[in-house]
Formats: sequence, structure tokens, C-alpha cells
Amino acid sequence: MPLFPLFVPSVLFVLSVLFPGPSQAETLDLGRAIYMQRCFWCHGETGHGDGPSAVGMFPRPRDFVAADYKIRSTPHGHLPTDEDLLRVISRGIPGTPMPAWVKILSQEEHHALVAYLKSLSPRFAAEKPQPLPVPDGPANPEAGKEVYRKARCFLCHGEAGRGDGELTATLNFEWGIPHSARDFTRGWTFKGGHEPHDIYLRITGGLNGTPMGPYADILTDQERWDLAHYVASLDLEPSATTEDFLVTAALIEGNLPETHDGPAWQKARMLTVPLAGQIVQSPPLRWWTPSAGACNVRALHNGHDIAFLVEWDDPTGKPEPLPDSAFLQFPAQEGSKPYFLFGDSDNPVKLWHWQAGNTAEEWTATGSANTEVRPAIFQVYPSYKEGRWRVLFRRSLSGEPSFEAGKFLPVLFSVRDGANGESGNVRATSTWLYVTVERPRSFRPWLLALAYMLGAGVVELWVLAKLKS
Amino acid sequence: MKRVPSVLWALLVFAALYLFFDRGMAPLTKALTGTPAPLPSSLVFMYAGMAAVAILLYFSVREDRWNNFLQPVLDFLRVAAPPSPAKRLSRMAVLILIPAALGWRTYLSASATPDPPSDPPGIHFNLPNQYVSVGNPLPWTEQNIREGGILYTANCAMCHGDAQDGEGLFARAGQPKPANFRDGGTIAQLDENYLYWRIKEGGPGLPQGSIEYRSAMPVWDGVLTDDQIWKIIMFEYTNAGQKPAKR
Repeated sequence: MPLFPLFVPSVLFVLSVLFPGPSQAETLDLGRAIYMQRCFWCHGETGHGDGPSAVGMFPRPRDFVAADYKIRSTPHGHLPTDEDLLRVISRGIPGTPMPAWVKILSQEEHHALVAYLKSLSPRFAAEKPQPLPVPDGPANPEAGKEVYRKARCFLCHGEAGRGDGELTATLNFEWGIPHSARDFTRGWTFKGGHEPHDIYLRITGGLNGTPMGPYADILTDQERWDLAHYVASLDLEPSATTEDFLVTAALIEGNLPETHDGPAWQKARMLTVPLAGQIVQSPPLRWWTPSAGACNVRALHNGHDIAFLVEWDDPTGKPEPLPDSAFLQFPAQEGSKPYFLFGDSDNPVKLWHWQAGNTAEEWTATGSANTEVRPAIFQVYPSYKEGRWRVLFRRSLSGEPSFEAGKFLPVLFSVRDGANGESGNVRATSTWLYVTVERPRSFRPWLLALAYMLGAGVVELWVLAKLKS
Repeated sequence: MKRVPSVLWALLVFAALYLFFDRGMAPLTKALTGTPAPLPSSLVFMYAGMAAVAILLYFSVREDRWNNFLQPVLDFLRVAAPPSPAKRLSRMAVLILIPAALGWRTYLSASATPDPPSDPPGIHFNLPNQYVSVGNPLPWTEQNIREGGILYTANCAMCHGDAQDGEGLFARAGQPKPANFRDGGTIAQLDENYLYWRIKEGGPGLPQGSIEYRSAMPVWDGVLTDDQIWKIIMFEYTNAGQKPAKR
């Protein structure tokens, strides 16, 4: 009986002698081979984060030799655990080019890669990183809001959490490199995940090598747990997808709003439109680092006029070297399909162009180099508040182009952030979407339904009569 | 045991087939290829119609089968000599439900917003003649593939992804989405010269009336040299774990 507990380990020992797993050297060789096929391009031959493609990338690819890892479950300045590394490899880093490798690399390959990355820094041999405990008790987001104020998170992350704090705007100019605080309203851009658990670890251990320091000694565990839940509650913006690309102008009674809030806008469905840098036409240059990743669009009409409300986050709305601007683009000719970047020689486009400082112009373009500027026949109502531009465009339903129920008109949205050096074709843009206006309520569906029901009834009666005879 | 009436069989088979066409294709194609490909509603309608015709054919091809099939329906509709209240009620219910359901569907479809126009799917256009006899002049050496990788990461990865899975940082804004080279339905079905055409001429080089007006694929002719394009192609195949169709 006392011998039994020894039985299992000894069997395992015999098995491991008979069928040895990969040796340390074999694991490292496998890790190195995967690294050279998958990671080398950005992280570099020696792991310094200086691969041939790292030039101009922001954020920079991680330097595995310096081993200053941002996404960790460990205290500030410490190394990440194996689990941390596995998780980042497997899930990738949202909002950056780092892909999720979970479907591409096997479990064994994940582990081999972790072993190889650790071999690049001597620190891993000397240190034993331990994960921080994460509370699992109840949290109070309201108390977390107070902590946000007390710990002065707003200085960088802004009052509404849009990453537009005073320091963000200032440091942006002082350092001469893009320096941004996370916009908490877009959870899908959180590098280490947007669950309260993840946010708690970022607050507690900070992000090594960035202005985000550790709050382990400044706030209590409960305060950080409450704060993590408050930050998670700010994640309100839906992730943009390409599945949905129809803007529907909802029908309302009476005048269209001239303000950005108000009950009328509740009636319009909000579409989050993904934006990408303009990378197709150069000159002037391909734009890899646009400031806006998405804009929210809503539309209303009242039978006479149509209003578009375009909203996007921009950490610096104040005086800038270049003005912020935005435009809506439509085909100039009914039924035509112009090229999505300012149209083409056969298919002109119309642009409703707005620029901070309240310039509104209508452009007709047949390509990036050929634009004709006219005074606007639409109105604009812009506002900037707490890191967000809201620009309302309003025009008559008729005109060029005209908006009609049952018709789908191509539409494109584009914005420029002056502080990010954006102007001209250096901009964030969508591709073509569609806009349609809601049909006035009518009896047509009811009449049709009634007609079909009557028809079916008549057929039934005929069959019954036939059966009787 | 009482036999299940054949009309019930017919309805069950039809319902199962309809459910499969309407709901089953997405999980099935996802399990087989990794990407769900649900049938468009027009095809579901067509297949369901064909299923209905096939089922009716099966029952009507023999006289006894057809009578078996029709009998319960006729019995149900015919007023039996002294009709039992339960039978009367169920008959009434069916006679009312059929037009009501039809009316309801009509109302829904007449008041629904129609779908915006859709474009033809984005790959497998005909290769233009001048590219048919073009071949890759470079050998598939490690060095060439490596140089292709450097060019790919610098120029293509923002959309097509550093993992060649079409999930680059800008991919969300594409309509259509950038091609996923790991998907067996993209470059594995094509040859090197097709990729050469697509890279060289980009979206604007696609046939008129396709997706040329909205494709964000840049024109790389004049930006990358031919050798650079061939190297990128060899890297794409290699790192995506695919081979050209004719190799």
C-alpha cells in the first residue's frame, strides 16, 4: 500500500526514458526555424525588433533582447511569464500588425517559439517572473470612476476616456513621435485584451517602456479592481466590420436637427465604418499610420432634407499645424460607379468637403489631381468635444446626387487629422458603402398581404367545392 | 404500429432539406474549409423548389403511392358525414392558418428594406491574354523567397496580414476584404502569372463592371520591379503553405 504512490511516477519515468521528448536544443532549433519564417521580418535576425520591415512601424516591434515586454501579468519592470508570451503569440496584439498565430502554429510550435524568445535575453535564466494575483470579488464601476479622477487618469486618457488628455496633446509635439494614450471607448484596440481582468493587470503592472506606469503602490487592490471595471464600462464603440455597409436615413417628422444630440438621432441606426490609411495612390505617399480607425455614421431625412452625422475620435482638435477635415463622396452621375479615390476620368464624383475653421465646399473630381471647387450647397454643423469630432452635413434630398427611397447610392467617408500630418490624399478613408432613405409609411405592404390572403382563401374554397361535388 | 402517413414524410423530408439549405451550409462549409459560405436566399429558394418537385415526383410516379399520399389530405379536407367537433376545429384552423401565414410573409417581404446591390465575387476573373504565356523567370531559392518576404511585409502585410491570412490591420476597411492566401480557394487555385497580373495592375486592372471601382488593391506596376513582384509571389505561396495550381 505505501508503495502505490511511487507507482505512477516510476511508470512515467520509465516512459520518459523509453520515449524522450524533444531535447532543449531541438526545441530551440524548432523555435529558431519558426522565428526565421514568421517573425524575422519585423522582429529582426537577432531579435532586436529591427527587422527589414520595422522601419516606420509604430508601435515598434518588440525588442526581445531588451526584453521590455508590455503585455504581462507580472509587476512593473519584470519579465512576462511563459503563459503571457503564449497568449500574445496565440492571440496577437489588436490594433497592431502582430497577427494571431493560434490557427497557424501548433501548440508544440508555440512552446518552441516561447523557448526561443526567452533564449534571446539572459534575464530569463536569472529571473523567475511570478504572476500578480487578480481579485475575483465584486467591483463597483461607480467607485472606479472616482478612482479615475483621484489617480488623474484623465491627464492622458481624457475626461471621456478618448485618449485626448492634456498631456497626450502636449507630448505629441514635444517628442516628435506618435505618442498616444489608449482610447478606452474602442475596446477592440486594447493591446492586451479588454476584459476587466486584463485591464487590472495593465493598471497594476503598467506597460514597460511607455509613460503608463504601475499603480500597484499608488492604489489599493480594490481601487484598481473598481477602476478596471470602470474602464471596461467605457468600451461603448462597436467594433467596425465590413459585413454591414448600408447607411439608412431614418424618416422623421418636422425639422431635421442642427445639433449633435437630441432625441431625433436616437431614431437613426448607427453604423461604425472602418477606415484605413490611403495606400493606393502615390504621390504624395502611402499612408500607413492614419489617426482614425473608424467613424460612426447616422442619417436622418424628413422628406425634404437629409442629414448625415459623422463622428470620429481625434485626440487633438485644438490649433494644429494642418486643419482637420472630412468629406462625404458620391458618384456625380446617376447609376455610375466611379473609382473610390476621387473618381476617374469617365466617372466624376461629388465631394461634400468640410475643413476645421468652418470651410465647406463642394468638389467635383475626376481623379486626385483634377478637382473643381464650388461653394457648398449643403450646411455643416461641426463640434469638437472630449476627443471627438462631430460633423453634421445637411442638404436637400433633391439635387446632384438625389436621394430617393428604394435607391441605393454609393457613399464614401474620409477624415484627416492635421496633427498627424494628414492633408490631401494623406488621409483615412473607407471604400464605397451604400446610403438609402427610409420609405414613407404606406399601406402597400398591408394591401399586398390582404390580396394574397384573399387569393389563398379563394383557392381553398374552390378545392373544398371540388371535393364536395 | 400505425404507419406514418406519406404526406407527413414528404413534409418532414422537405423541412429537413430546407433547413439544411438555409442554415446548414454555413457550419458545414466552415467545418470543411474554415470559412462559412451560406447559400444566398435566391439559391435556397431554387434548391427548395427543386426538392419539392423531386418529392412530388417520387410520390406521383406510382399510382398506389400517389393515392397513399393524397388520401389523408383529402380525408382531412372532406366533411365527414357527422363531423366530430375536434376534426371540424382542426380543419378550420388549417384553412385559416394557410392564408394567414402567406399574408404575414407577404407583409414582411413588402415592408422589408431591400438589400443593397452586390458585386460579383472578387477572385477568379479571366486572365487577360497578354498574361497567359508569362512565366516566373526566377528560381524558387531561399534567397529569392526571403527577399520576397521583406517586400511583402513592407508593402502587402498591412492588408493581407503578416500571417498571410487576409487579416492585416487595414483589412476591416476593405470591401471586398483582402484575399486570405491561406484559404485553399484563393492562390492555391491560381497560377503565378495570375498573381503577377493582379499585383501589377491592382484593382483598376480588373474587368469593367466587376469590382474595379471599389477594390483597394494598388497598382504596383512602376512601383515594384517585375523581379520584385515574382519574389513576393514565391514568398506568398511559401509562407501561406500553398502551391501554384500547376506546380
